Amino acid sequence: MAHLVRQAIIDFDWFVLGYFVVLNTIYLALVAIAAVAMARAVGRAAFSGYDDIFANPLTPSVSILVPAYNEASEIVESVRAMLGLRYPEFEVVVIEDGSTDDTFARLAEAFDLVQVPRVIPPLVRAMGEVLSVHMPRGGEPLVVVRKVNTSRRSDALAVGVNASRHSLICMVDADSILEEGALLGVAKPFVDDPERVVAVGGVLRAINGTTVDGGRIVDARMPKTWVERIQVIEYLRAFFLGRVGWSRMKGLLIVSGAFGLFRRDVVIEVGGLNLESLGEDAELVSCIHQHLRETKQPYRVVFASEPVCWTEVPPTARILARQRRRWSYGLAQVLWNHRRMIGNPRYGLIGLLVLPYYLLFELLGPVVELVGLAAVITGLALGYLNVQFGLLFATVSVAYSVFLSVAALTVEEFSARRYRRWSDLRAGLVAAVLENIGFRQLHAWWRLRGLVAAILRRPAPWGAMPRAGFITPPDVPR
Amino acid sequence: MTYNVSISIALAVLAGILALLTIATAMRRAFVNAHDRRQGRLEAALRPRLLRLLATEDPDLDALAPQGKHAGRVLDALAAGLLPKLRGSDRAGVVELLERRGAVDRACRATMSRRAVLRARAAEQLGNIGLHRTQPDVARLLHDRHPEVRAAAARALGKQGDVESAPSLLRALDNGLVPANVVSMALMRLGDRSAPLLEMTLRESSVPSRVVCCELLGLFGAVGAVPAIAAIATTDPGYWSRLAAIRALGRIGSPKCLAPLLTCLHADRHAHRAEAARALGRLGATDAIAELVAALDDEHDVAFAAAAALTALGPEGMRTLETIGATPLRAGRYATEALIVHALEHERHAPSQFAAA
Repeated sequence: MAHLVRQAIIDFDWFVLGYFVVLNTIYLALVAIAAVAMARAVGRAAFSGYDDIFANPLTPSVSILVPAYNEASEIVESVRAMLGLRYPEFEVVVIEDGSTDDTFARLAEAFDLVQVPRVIPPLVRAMGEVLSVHMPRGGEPLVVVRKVNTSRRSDALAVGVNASRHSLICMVDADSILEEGALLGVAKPFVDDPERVVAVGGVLRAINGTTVDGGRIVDARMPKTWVERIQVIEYLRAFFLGRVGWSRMKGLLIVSGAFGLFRRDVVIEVGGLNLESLGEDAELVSCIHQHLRETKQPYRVVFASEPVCWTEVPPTARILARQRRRWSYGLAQVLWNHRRMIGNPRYGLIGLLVLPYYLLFELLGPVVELVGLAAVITGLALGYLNVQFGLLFATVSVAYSVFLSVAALTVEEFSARRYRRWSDLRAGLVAAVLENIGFRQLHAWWRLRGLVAAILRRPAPWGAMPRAGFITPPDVPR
Repeated sequence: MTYNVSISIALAVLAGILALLTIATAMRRAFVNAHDRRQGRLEAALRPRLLRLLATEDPDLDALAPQGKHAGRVLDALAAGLLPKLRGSDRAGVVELLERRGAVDRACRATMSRRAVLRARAAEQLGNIGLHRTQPDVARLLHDRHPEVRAAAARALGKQGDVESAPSLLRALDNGLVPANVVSMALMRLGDRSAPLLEMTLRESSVPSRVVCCELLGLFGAVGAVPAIAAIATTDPGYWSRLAAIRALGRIGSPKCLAPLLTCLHADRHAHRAEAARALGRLGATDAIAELVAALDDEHDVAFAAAAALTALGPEGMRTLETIGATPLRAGRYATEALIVHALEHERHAPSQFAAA
């Protein structure tokens, strides 16, 4: 019996080792693909044609949907920044989702809002009753919809889809600032290939620590705390380069709800957002893939590597834990809802590669990581494994991951270069190490809890994220 | 090779790559920072000299000869960057400066570079300079193997403003070589001199070409093209081309557009009906009031467009909306919304029943 246990632990540890090799090699491939794509993007930035898109009266118009719940500290600055975007024709639709703070009062005061009897048709399913609709005097393209809160971001977005009037809809978080040309950049794929492109994801970066003035990013800096700095590296590697890589492979599954542009008619055609899903962004894109594959319509879901949306990331480990539990819960829901696509050749690369990857490495990753770590420690403690194996395991699981994060930083340095200070670079390099020693294991634990909650169908792990507000020039430490 | 040695080698290789990446990142930062500082210094020195030179009556362009190859490149970039902002003799002065410095010939040679980035950049530069003699070099790039280069060439041809480029641009669009949006903007820059060609293309081209031709003829207000556009608006099998044709009829704004637009108000697709309602508003056709009122009972986007169109039809349209707005009908909600939004857009105070929140 003891022999069997010993052999089982050794075999499992080798399996975990192999798992890490495969996982990190997939990441490496994605970062490498993204590095090539970024190098090309930098080269063609000078002739991107954004000026022509801006000047062309035939450029499709956009409705920017901004769900806002208790966003009083940032909402006015965010909306001002959105109204100042460089784009030929657009409207900003703020869905004030039953806030308990003075989010609406601040908007009403800042933009001199007047109640209007806007007709909102039930084009897609929404739950929360619309209370009133407001627009500013003077004709600024702003619409504020007040609704009853249903504790679902997807419900606010669904109301936004119904209230929107333009052919493209852009979903943006209220605690986000879009760069002036971000909308032009994210709309470019629609302009270049209007018949096939149905969704475009944009780059997200952490705004914590960065100075904002008049709705514009004036000084990008690394945040102050390590929890935030680690997220900067994580956003860079996974949400930026990872998605550029998937997009190049035509396998993009997630267009972040914090900054994504969709064809409105397609969103309506697939029935809108799933109100029961916590991962409404991935759910929507999965539905689009499923529907368009099943109806054999040519389409593309792409990631635009240049436009940037700066968004506030959780400033403390406690809030981050809640966010990541929710993400894990949401991913489990998405994979369950689309389980018949997994491994199904009818759905092409999405069915054969992307969804199996998300199942094996994103959803089940924390199980393998945490159980594997416990098994390796047990194996080493009981003498089943030697120190060399421990070293090999550390090399593959930690050093390889640190290498990937540093590689992501290198790609950033050779392409976008948003953080210009030497101190930012130093902080980034240290965060790349800390991310893999301590944070990653903690992160796996949070994700595991989200997965367990989803399997046991426990209530969704909701909770408000307290907003710190943007740093404006007078607040900058001298 | 033993197990221990293998692990040591793996660790050493990984540590080595990590160190190399870190050094490369730091060196890149140091290099770019130094380059930016040097560039900034050179630009600060050259820009005032360039502007002073352009401000003089008879500028001696040879006087502005910076020392060194790098400084020369900075001057060329500065001068080329000014081009889109300049007109008349100032622009001609900068073009002459670039020609004398050999920047135009270098750009023409770069259109044959092996690197796509350099070909596209050359096209962009030649477009900004706008010399007629470089048109064939740019037009050749419409058949480049790289889509970004083809798009840059199309934009450049538009900026050069040579109407002879129109057939090449339309062929590139028809063959799917350049996106419709890029071609449309380039043709728009060529102006209404290309209208006869667009009208001819309307009858014998692919759907994307018909879309672009309709949109442009609409923007140019090509009254002579109304019969051809009306035929597309009412009978074309293409969804997008019909939409573009309906929009074009609204933009042309001729009384001849009324009948086809009224037909389109009863089209099968609601997007076509909504576009027809918007076009009737743009047309300012009070004869269409009764039809637009009927459209207020249509699907949401048609009803919304019809109500907005009625606000554009002057006092008669507004009175009609006020009458309908006073009723408890579904159409009344669209009418009331349109009236309020119209008032807000014109910075008037909203009616008292919709007082400030």
